[in-house]
This record gives sequence, structure tokens and C-alpha cells, in this order.
Amino acid sequence: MAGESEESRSRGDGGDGVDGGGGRALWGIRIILLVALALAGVGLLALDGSRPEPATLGILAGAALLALLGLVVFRHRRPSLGRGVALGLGAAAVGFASVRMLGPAFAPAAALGAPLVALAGASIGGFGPFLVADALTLGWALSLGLASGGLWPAGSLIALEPAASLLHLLMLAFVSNGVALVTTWNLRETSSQAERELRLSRAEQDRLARELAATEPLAAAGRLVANVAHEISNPVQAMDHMLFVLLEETPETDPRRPRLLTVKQAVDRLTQYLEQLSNFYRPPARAGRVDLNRVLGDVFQFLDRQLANANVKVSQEMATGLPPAAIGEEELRQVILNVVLNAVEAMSDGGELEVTTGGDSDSIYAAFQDSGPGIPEADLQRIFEPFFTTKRDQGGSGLGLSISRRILRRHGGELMAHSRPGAGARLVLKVPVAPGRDERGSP
Amino acid sequence: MRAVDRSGHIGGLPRVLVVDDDEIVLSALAATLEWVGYEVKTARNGHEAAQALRRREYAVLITDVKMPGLSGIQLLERVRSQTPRTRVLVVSGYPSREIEEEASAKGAALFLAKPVDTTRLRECVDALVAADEVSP
Repeated sequence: MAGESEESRSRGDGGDGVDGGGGRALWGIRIILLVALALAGVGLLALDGSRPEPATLGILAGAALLALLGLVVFRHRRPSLGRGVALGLGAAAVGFASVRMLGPAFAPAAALGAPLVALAGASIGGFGPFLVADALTLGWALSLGLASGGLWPAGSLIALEPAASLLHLLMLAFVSNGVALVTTWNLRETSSQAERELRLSRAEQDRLARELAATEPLAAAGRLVANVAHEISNPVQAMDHMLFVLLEETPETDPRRPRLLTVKQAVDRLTQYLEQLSNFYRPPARAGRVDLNRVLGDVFQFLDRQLANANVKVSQEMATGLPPAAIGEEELRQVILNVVLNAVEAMSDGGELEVTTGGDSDSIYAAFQDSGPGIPEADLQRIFEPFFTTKRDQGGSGLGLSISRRILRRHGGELMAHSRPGAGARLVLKVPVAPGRDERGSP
Repeated sequence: MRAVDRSGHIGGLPRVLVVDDDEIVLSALAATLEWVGYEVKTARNGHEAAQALRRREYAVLITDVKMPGLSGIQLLERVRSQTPRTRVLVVSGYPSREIEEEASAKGAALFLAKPVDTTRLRECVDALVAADEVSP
């Protein structure tokens, strides 16, 4: 936005003239000059007795007022323009006042010289207020100097009294510096507004930091889990090996064999659990070009008996000619397996699982609609949290769906859940289409 | 100093060197592989393993990755230069694609994540020994 960039620019040059170390030195020189001018002016006025007419002073006061008005009007939006307008008006008014004081012959110099000098100073200084004030004063001094020396192309200038010139210069210096002072005050206001904005953005940062801190325990938990998994994997592997040897050495007829087999089952479960855990923190496999329909077919074939035992009927409606998915085949298999097993477990008394696939040139999807009780609203998002399970007593780890979503997201895909109470749950997995050759998968 | 035995076998049994800094994994691996029918030597760290490799040639080296001193990957580099015929099976408790790729680039024949299932372990070691017997 133009307003914003102007504001930031103004803050920049306001800073070098007002707040910087160099700015402070300039301030000192400026004050000394002004005081010297004021003293000289007052002294000359006292000696000479010449004073400007009330109308001239009125015009000067009016110019100052107009300048202030310009600053106030453009204070918030486009402050640089405000200062430009103010200075232009101020310079023009000073010029007209000069004409009144010095005579019509001085008009061209006054009417053109002062505003031009003011605008030139303003644009050179990037509208830095004190720079403009100085440019204005110096410009006017130069004009007067040239006029006094007869170098200015105007006839009646020789008549100009030194005291009047000095008074002029003095008033101009006061007005322009006054305007600059007001502008600076305006700038301060702008910068304090900027500070407020900065504070706000800091508050935003704090909020983000707090949010990050809130997710930090999850990340820490992740690291903890990875470490725990590693620590457990060695003893589990040792148990598995030793059980193998023990079972091989125990005859089929040995009454202790069933006990060993139970231990073996327990160890197997631990091994599987650890495998799931390590999958959770394993970096992604390289995305290949996977035929979603085929992997779905493989998984259902693999689960055939389990689905029959669970009394779950599967109906499939596969889109033909789907482009290949950009994901590792093993990963996609794992995701589908997790989603299907989750649906089967949700339908404890059996039911129907409708599977549909489809997609476009960007991504393809598989949707799994079950006829179970559905997922309560409150659990809909939580089902993707690690360790969230409603089946812990049945050995649920609460990792299946969260791992699946992680895997899909790593490949730019997504796993979504929709549910209406009583109408079952619908899980949709989406995978990006593999780039490159336009190779169609099998129907 | 003993002459280096280049056969990789003692009394017909293929030799396997197992390296892991975890004692219980080490003894369980040794017990299993011995039961299966291998001559097993164990080492608790990379340096012990490097010493063992200097004395004898092994058909298969099974090594952990993260160990104090010489890591499994560094050990793998030595094996490649000292006894290139030894097949290396790298096992890691912190499996990652980077480690797997590094191990494979440095000449590991196989990579497995812990906990290694016994059946899988047997299959792998058998396959590596068979490959060793076939190759010249």
C-alpha cells in the first residue's frame, strides 16, 4: 500500500534528522542560528524602527495555519504529501507577504523562488521536515542576497532595507522550522503508532510462540516415544531370538510348549507395535507411481478371511483409468490397511464397507464408507491424534490413523474423516498424481 | 601372529561375526545363529570387531550402527577394504533412509530395522551365506 510505504520512508528520514546523533548536532546549529537571527532581527528593528505591516504578518500567520492544516489533514494517510502541501503553502504565503513588503517588482522571485526551493528541498530530503525548513530558509536567504546585490533581475530591489531582509529571513526561518517541528511531532506520532503496531505484531509472535509451545510437548513426546521404542527393541529382539531357540528345542508334546507359544505371541505383538511406532517416525519412502486400484485389490485379497470372519461385506466401485499415485507402494498399502481395519473394528457386529475411487489430473482418492455407528463429533478430529483410541482394551494402539495421515501428508496427500451419527463413518484418502509420463493405471 | 584363515568356514560351518553394544542382543543373536548352524563370534564394539576381522575372514558380518567408538558404518568401510568377500548385514535401532542409503552406498548387502524378527534374520543370513558360496 502506498500509504504504508510512505510512512515507513518518512520514519526513515525523520529518524536521521531528528533522532540520530547527526540530527542532534544539526538541531544545535539550527537553534543557534535561529537565536542569532532573532537577536539580530530584534536589534535591527529597534535601531531602524521599520516594521512589517499588520497585513503582512496576517498573511504569514495564515500561511502557518494553512501549513498546519495540511499537516493535520494528511496526518494519517500520506503524511509526506501533507508536509509537501504544507510547505508549498507556507512558501507561497511567505512569497506573497514578501511582495507586499518589498513591492510588486519582487513578485516573480517571491512567487516562484520560495515554493520551488521548498519543493526542491522537500524532494531532495525525501520530505524530511527539517531539511525542507533549512532549504526554504537558505533559498530565501539566497534570493534576498541576490536581490540586495542587484543580481536579481528586478529594478526596485536596491531599495530593500537590510533590516527588512533580515526580518524576512527570521520569520521564514521561524515559520519553516515551526512547520518542521510540528511535522516531527506528527512523525513521532506516526512512529508511536508504528511502535503500537510492532507491539501488536509482537503479541502475534507471542501467540505463535505459545501455540508452538503447545505443540512442543507433542514433538517431545514423539522423541520420547522414538527413544523408548529403540530401548525396547533390543530386549524384544533378544526375546524373539531366544524364544525361537527355546521353541525349536521344546518337543511338540512338551506340556510347557503352549506357555512358550503364549510368550511368543506376546513378543510378536510387541514387535508389531514397535514396527508401527518406528513407522511413525520413519522418513518417507520415495514416491513411486502406484496404481491405487491394484493396491486396494491386494489389501482386500489379503484381508479376505478376516473380513469374512468379521461379517463385513465389501462393495467396490473403482474408477477406471486412474493416473498413478505419487506415494510409496508399501506406504499406500499400510494406509489402506489401517483405514480398512479401522472400519472393520468400528463394525463390531458386521456390516458393509463401500469403497469408491476416483480423481482428476491432480489427485486421486479412495473413499471408505462403513455402516458402523459413526464417529461422535468430538472425536472426529481426535481420531488422527497419536495414541487416541476407543479400543485400547482390544489392543488398539491409537496409531493406525495418525500414521496413515502422516504418511499421506508427507506425500502431499490427506486423510479426512466425515461422519453423521447413525450413518456410519466415511474416510477419504487423497494422494497426488505422480508427475511425468501420462501412464494410466489398470482399470 | 596367526596366519589369516581365508576360508570363512571352520569344520564346514560358515562363520558369522555379530557386533552389538547391547549384551542381550548379542547373546541372543549368537544363540540363534549357532542353533541355526553357524560358527558365531561376537564383538561388543567396532574396535573388537575390527580386531576379529583382522584375524579371520567371516562369511557374514552383522553389525549395529550406533556403537561407542567405531560405528557400524565405519566398520563397514574397513570390511570393504580388508575383507571384501564378507557380506554385511546392517541392523539399526534408529532406522532412517539416510542410514540405509549410506550403508548401501558403502557396500552393505542388507539393512534391517530392530527389532529383527528371527525368521527374517535366518532368511537373510542364509541368503548372504549362500551368495558367498556361489560367488568366486
